[in-house]
Amino acid sequence: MKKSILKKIGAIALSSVLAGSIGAVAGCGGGGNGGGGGSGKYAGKILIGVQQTRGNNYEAMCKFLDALKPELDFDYQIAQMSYADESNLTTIENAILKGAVGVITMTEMEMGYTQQVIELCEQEEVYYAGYMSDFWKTYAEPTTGKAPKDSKYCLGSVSDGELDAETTATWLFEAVKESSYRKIVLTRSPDWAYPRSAQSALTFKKLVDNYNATAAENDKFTLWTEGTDGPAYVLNYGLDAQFAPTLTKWQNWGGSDLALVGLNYCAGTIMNMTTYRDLKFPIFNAGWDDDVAKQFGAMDDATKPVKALCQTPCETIIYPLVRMLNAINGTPYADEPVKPEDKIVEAKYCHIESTKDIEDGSAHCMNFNSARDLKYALISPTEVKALLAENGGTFAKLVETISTWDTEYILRREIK
Amino acid sequence: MENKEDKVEKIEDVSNEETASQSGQPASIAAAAKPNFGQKIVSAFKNFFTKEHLKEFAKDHIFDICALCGLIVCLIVFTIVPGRHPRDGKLLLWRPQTIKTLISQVSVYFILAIGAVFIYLMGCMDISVGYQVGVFGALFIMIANSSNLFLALLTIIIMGLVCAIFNAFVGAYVKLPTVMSSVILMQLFNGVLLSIFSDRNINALTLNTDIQAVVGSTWFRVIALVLLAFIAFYFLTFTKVGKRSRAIGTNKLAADQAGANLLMTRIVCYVVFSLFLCFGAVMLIARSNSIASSDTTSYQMDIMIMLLMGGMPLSGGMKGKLFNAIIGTFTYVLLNMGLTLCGVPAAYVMLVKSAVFVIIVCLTCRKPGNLLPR
Amino acid sequence: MESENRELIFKASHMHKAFGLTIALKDVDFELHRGEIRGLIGENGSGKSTIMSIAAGMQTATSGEMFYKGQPWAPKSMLEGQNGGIAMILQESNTIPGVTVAENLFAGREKEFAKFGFINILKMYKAADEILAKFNITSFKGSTKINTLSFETKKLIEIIRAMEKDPEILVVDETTTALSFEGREILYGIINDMAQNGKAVVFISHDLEEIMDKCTHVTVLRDGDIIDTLEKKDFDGKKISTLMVGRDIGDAYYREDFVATAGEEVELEFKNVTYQGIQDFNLQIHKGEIVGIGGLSDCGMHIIGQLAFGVRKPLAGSIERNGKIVKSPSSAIKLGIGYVSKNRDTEALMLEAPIKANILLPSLDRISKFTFIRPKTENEIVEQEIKNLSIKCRNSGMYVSKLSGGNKQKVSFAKWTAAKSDVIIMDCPTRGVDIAVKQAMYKIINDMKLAGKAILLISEEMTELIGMSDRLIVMKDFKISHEFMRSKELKETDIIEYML
Repeated sequence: MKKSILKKIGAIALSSVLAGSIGAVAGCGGGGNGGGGGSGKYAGKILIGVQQTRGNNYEAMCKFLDALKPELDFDYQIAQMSYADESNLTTIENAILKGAVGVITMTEMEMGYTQQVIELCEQEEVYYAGYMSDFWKTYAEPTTGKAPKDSKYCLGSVSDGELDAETTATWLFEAVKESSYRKIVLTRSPDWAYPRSAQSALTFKKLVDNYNATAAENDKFTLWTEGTDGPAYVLNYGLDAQFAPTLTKWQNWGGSDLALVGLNYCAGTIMNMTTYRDLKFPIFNAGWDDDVAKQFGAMDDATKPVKALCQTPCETIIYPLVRMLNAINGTPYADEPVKPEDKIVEAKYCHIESTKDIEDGSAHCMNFNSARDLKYALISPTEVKALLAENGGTFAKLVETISTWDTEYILRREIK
Repeated sequence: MENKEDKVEKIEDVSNEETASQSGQPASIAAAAKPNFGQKIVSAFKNFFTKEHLKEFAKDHIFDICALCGLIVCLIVFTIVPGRHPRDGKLLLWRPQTIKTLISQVSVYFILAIGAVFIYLMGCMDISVGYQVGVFGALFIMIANSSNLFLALLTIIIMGLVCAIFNAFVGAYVKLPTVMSSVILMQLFNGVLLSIFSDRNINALTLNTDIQAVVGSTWFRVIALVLLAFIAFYFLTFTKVGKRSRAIGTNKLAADQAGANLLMTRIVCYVVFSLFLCFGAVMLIARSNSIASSDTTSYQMDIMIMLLMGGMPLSGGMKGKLFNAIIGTFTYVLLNMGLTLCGVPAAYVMLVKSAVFVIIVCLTCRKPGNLLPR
Repeated sequence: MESENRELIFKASHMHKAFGLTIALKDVDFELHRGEIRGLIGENGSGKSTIMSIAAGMQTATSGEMFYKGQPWAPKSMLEGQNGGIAMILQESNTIPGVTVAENLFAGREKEFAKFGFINILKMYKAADEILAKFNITSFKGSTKINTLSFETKKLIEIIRAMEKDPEILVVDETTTALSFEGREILYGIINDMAQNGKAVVFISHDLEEIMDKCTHVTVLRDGDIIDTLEKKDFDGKKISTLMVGRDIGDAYYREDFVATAGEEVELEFKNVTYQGIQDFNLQIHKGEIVGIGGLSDCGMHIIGQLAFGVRKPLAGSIERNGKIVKSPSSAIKLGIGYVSKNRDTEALMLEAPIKANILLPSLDRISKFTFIRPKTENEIVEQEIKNLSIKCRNSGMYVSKLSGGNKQKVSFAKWTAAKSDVIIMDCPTRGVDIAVKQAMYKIINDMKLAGKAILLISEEMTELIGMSDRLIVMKDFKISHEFMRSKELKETDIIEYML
């Protein structure tokens, strides 16, 4: 009898603690009103869906956005997206219902889910844009229902690296060519994640074949062929256990001549696998999102596996952000693109191939600076504000600003 | 060995006898005048609200009452705390769009949960729900895309029946915990699901015909949920199946010796469960005309959590009700949405949900009834 | 009360025990003398177990004093009670599962066999075997695993364990019903020895005949009061029953007639049934006939009951009714057979379920129309059964676990009367039930017979079988050893002859 009374008291106590904590958190979390000071025309809260809540790009992006908040008078909230579109849909729906004014997402959802979101956006007058994504899935033609790209609430996206299939593949090939590694395992992401990657693989293969045609016998490239889809091995977000034997096989095949070439950001998955940590072979990867300086090593540095990598700077978020703020304020660009395809904008990769690049990056770029120092931001908050339509900005200027951010500019521009 | 209850019993025996003998004469007269329906309702109402009856009711149904209170607390908290929408000034929780989205998010869980009640009443558990629904959904889309919707539905229903019979047979004849058959199915379906999606190099399957417009519309959902709930209620309360499944959950041996054919009851319950799984899969597809490979993986745990939140005893038996499923699903989804509406950052929502779950389990863990007098 | 100058060994004065508002003992005075075998008899709730459990240390009194061997006595636990010399054997199972007989016997005394922390198990087995030999027990040894032994044997081991501590007062609480025939004989032997050696025994039971037979004195309790204490020379069954119940229960206990009657039709037939030890078992039960089966507890009679209902399936032969074979419990029910299991709490009833659910369970097929079961029909049937069998409960929604033993048994019966079974197999139907309820049950069984039902009554109580059966079949070693027809002159001794 005593025990059950105790239980009931405990239940009441816990419930009140729970209710109290919800209230407290809600109070701190903000009720959707309030935010920065500034011009007084507060835009609202924007939901930013990210793939991971760690890594240099994420940290840099957050710091950059925090600097922009007071200047541009908005607020943002981060949500972790997953591969389960159903739960992504729920997260976005709930945020919109809470009163978010816009959704910027790094991960695309399947057409059906995107259609749902766009429908909700239209009802709630909320804007939807992409970041570090080519919005290939979102911009496809649906088999049923309305096309999301045709909605005025879908603002397009800024890509993660060049939009064509050739540039990155060519750069990677050049980087590998410079090295001494000739036994290559070429990997790529599945089509639904990176639709360009199949084409990229073919480009890489063509370059390899061209090279082999004129190269000396011991200088020829050999590509791993077992279990590949075309020239490349398709990496899925598979399990550590499934990969262990494959990694060992690669190591046994290539030995000290082995290098892994990742056409997309997928080699990171491999680096996290336990087996890899015992084996370790050099990686040339497109896209990176960890402590770059710790992973990158010169060609002859055996302790650090990454030999080449590239990233799009975090500042490219200004594309969806500025467009969204324009739309919320009701001031579109005068030269607003009409065709939906024109709303997908390319951002270039910044290539890192040597320790000098790392040093330069550390002193020139938020992404590669370990403290993510704001003084290395590619664009200042005032300059971003100037890009808003109400301050005289144009779509062409916005696109041009982003297109100037190439490797040379990012790593070696003059810091004022 | 005497026990306290025997003693109480004894005293009550006397009082029962006394009242019986006192009312011996008038009873025959009273019996002659049958009360009409209205009077019956009024007297039933009065009887319900007597102090002793309320106390007894509370004691018997304490978990259900707690679950309902939990839902009401959530509703109150989530009405007040989030405040009003910045643009149209209405209470965030009660805007039509929110309600619509809530129903959309609840619908799949609701159907799966009320189907699961049939299983849980018998004291069984099924941990293959997630993968089963995933496979059914994928198959539905594949068949519907290549032939027609009707054939797709028929196929998954037949598959469901096969799984049901498998589960029933293993549960009745193999001397392992009944959850084992679902473990086997879970592995099987996990493999099937992976192969469907990995072979295709795709993340999700999309339906070519738009069922979202009809099946995914709010009024269809509401009607479907209400209809399915009533059907389930009928079967659970007024038919042999419902009574026997509860009996099996209470005392399998006694149920067997009282004529509840263990195998047949199991089969019927699992068949109903599978049918509801099929409906749930279709409802899931209707959310977006597609299904992604990892959409459903957490369903088995979600359903268990929801039923627990609604007050269902894990060992099944007499105290399990449809009510548990209904309250549980709404509480779970409402909690998820409501916490976001309160402004709790997405990362913490998961934490709070887990904390709530732990609290509920601690409070509702029941000790097996005292079988021997002490 | 004459004490024959026997020494007072235990005394309780003004003992009062209350559980909240419920009073179990009302200011009771009790004296126990050396050399006495004191029976305590009373209905459920009379306080007979309470008073001794307080003496043994299992509970504490709300107020009152106890004196043991002249000194004040207030044990706080059973261990304290045991160490002081009062041992109590309970109704529930109290052996340690999963280990051997020897480990059970010497539970708590392992140090006697230990050297440097290692227990010499062989020495323990030998010591256990010696003890068992003292009681002429040959069917198991010290090294036998206790899980392989029957409930009855486990109870016996508890008794032996208690005796090893050489108690001054042995309290036996409703234990004989849990013992086999040999177990009971051993217990009676122990009790007599204790009395002769100047110790005391308190024997708590429902069984009036047993108490009158074995005890030197009997104390009758009712509703927490001691009504009277009688000496052996004043023993009178009718008088004691009246004191127990508080009213004259009349002469009728078992059946009043002494003629075996049976209808023509065969309601249930065993045809050459073979199952484990049972071979080519043949038996016919007729309409309106009570066939009793008695014997030692492992003679196979309980298995016969299970076979008849389809709980077990025969390896050869069949059990038939109207030409149809009984294959399973549900087929048996369809054929109109009912079964009241010996294991009331585990097989016959769902404890954590309302009375209503229990009673209706076998009848579901019958009352279900196109899948719908009308609540009104349900309630009518249940109310009828509660009335007919006088089941004492608040309402039909009350959980069976809250009922007293007798009422539980009535619910068990009600299942089959509601199902309108024509053949009812009863296995130990009045086990652990007090006298007033027993009487009611015998009346019910008799009514069933008169209504034309065929009844198979399996019981370990000789007197019950003699009193109720039209034909009494004695089984021994899985075979029918003799068949008796109902007769006034039939005595227990006649039957025992064929049992052993």
